[in-house]
Amino acid sequence: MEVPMPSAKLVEQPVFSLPVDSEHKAKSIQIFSFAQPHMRALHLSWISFFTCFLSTFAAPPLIPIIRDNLNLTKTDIGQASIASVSGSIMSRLMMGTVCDLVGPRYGSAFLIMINAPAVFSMSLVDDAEGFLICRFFIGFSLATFVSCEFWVSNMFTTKIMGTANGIAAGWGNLGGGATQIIMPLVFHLMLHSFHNPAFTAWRLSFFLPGTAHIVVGLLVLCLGQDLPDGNHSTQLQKQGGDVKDGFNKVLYFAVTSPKTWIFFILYGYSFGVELTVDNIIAEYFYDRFDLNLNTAGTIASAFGLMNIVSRPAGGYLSDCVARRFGMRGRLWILWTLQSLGGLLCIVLGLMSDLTAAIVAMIFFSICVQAACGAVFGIVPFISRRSLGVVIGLTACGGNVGSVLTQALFFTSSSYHTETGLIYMGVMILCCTLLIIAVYFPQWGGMFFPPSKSVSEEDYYVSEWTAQEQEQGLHLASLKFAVNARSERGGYCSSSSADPEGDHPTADGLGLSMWKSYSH
Amino acid sequence: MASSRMLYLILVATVATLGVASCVEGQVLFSTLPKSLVVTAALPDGKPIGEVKTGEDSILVKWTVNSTASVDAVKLKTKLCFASESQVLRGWRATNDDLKKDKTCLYDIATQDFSRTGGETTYKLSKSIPGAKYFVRAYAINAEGKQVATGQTSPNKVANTFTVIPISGRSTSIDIAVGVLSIFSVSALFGFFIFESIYLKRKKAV
Repeated sequence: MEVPMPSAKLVEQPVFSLPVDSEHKAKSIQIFSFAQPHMRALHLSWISFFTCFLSTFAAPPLIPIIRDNLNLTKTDIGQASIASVSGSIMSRLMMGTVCDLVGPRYGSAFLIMINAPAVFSMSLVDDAEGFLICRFFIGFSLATFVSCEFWVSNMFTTKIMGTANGIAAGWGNLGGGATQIIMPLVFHLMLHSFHNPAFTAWRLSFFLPGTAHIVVGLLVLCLGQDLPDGNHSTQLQKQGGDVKDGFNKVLYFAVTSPKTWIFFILYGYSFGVELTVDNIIAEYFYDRFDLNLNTAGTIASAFGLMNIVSRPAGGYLSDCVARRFGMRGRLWILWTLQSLGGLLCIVLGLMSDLTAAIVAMIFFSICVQAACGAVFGIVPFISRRSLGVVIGLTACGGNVGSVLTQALFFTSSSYHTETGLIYMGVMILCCTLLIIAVYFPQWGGMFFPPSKSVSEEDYYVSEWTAQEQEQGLHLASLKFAVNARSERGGYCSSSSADPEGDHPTADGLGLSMWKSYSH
Repeated sequence: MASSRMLYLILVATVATLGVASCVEGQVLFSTLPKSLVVTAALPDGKPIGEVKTGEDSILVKWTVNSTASVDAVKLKTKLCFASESQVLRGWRATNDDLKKDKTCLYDIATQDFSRTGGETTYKLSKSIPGAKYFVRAYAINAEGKQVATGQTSPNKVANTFTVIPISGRSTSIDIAVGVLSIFSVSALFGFFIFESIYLKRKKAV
């Protein structure tokens, strides 16, 4: 849809199918559209993340067959489970840097396609060591989470950051639940329709996630675009677009901000808990309530499948509260959701009746996943220059939290799984109190009001040195800062005029399901 | 809200009824079964079993009834059971006295008609049997389907056990397919990078 511009300020004025802000980030989401660049990026990022979750958690539903084929003991299985989530600790950190330097499209496509051989190699393992090594390397692909969040943060404006991030990450996390249903189905297909012995059928099943890696990687490369204005490498420097950045500077600003480390821990106790429960919940229902494997697997998949609404809901709630209360509202809603999650974890451990346990598990999954969504409603605001590294560090924290909780509460035989769940819930409640320490000078913290002398521009431009500002390298951060004024909330001076003035405002095609408040 | 409360109550009632129902059926405890059957397992030519391969080898299982015992049974089931050393650190193969929960004998050999004079069966090992140490156990089943007598080749699940060598599940075609697809994935990726940088250079040159 062409909108003729009366006075073009720039040489080219690109036209988008969604309303955009000054950085050409979309101001609304149309979930059924695949239009370049915003919605296509959203769909490609969640699909690529879904595929990686599919392959990382493809082994657990087939464990009863694999453990017989490879002669595994309980210790072998447990160690491989820990390896599957610890592999991505380093890769998530590296992916943050890669995204900052070469862009999310190359980053995620590279990772997915390089990881495909590891997925295929699972078909060749013969013993416990091979199984552990394979799960470890496949786990590296969970770093696509970072490129997913980074890509979405590039494409959608601050007011709907939480919702967009929540949709992309939540639907990606869905892969962990979907795989518990898909892999056994593929296995049965190989076993019965193609008449293979069981020990061959499970190996053939792994060709599905492997092929998905290749297909999705090619889709991302061919159809994707890093930024609303083009790809990272083709950005015209005279327009002040993204430029090659010094890795050391980027890392410095991420690591020296205490907020980064607080969110490292917070995400460890929301997403980390989710990963841990993904690994242990089927066994928990199987053992404690004497269910058969298929029933336990179906209940386990329900935990992961709640992601389809709960994580986007967390992001959406964060955005809703931010409209009225700004960043302080976002912090309070995060604390509420995560503390509720901790309480429900304790309740889950205490339930000895099957129905009550399932109900508790479902509410627990909703709260924990919504808390994950709410975390990423705040993380993109911590730093603009080092966005990738901050996302990478937070995501790392998720995996470290998972390794820690599995090692502390679910490996020792001195107490049962239900006691481990109770202890984990208590630890969630304690770690969530750290949110009190989060303080944005321009917006405030949970209990502290904002400092009157610091503005958004001051905060984001302070990440660039005076020399770099002279060269104009900070312009992208400046644009972001102006758009981030939305985080002051409704009680501040609310001129409804767009601070940036004229820009293309073509109406979206079709139904728009979420809209930020209209200008 | 009233309807969801009703639903919750119905769910609880159903679970409770099922729970009670499962207790009504009598539990058969392995320790209470008389050891009235004598079972032997050997290779088809009569030699003792050392190692057998699944999918290729067979075993000959013979069973008779101990002369002093009286067994009222209709069927006789023989099963392949895990030796103690194959149950270590593997809770899914754990022994439980309640035969409904017992996981020691997961693989059926044959179900035959019961006869006081005994019987035998030759069993070709199925490809789905995992590699482990095993012994053979027989249950005499009465008309209601409950076990009434038992016997096994190993006295204590340690002595007189034999090893089963499983299939690996791998085949040359899987190996080749994995190699081909992995190479395709990596070369498609680098091919795309090279193609795109050439394309961009041409675009800049224009």
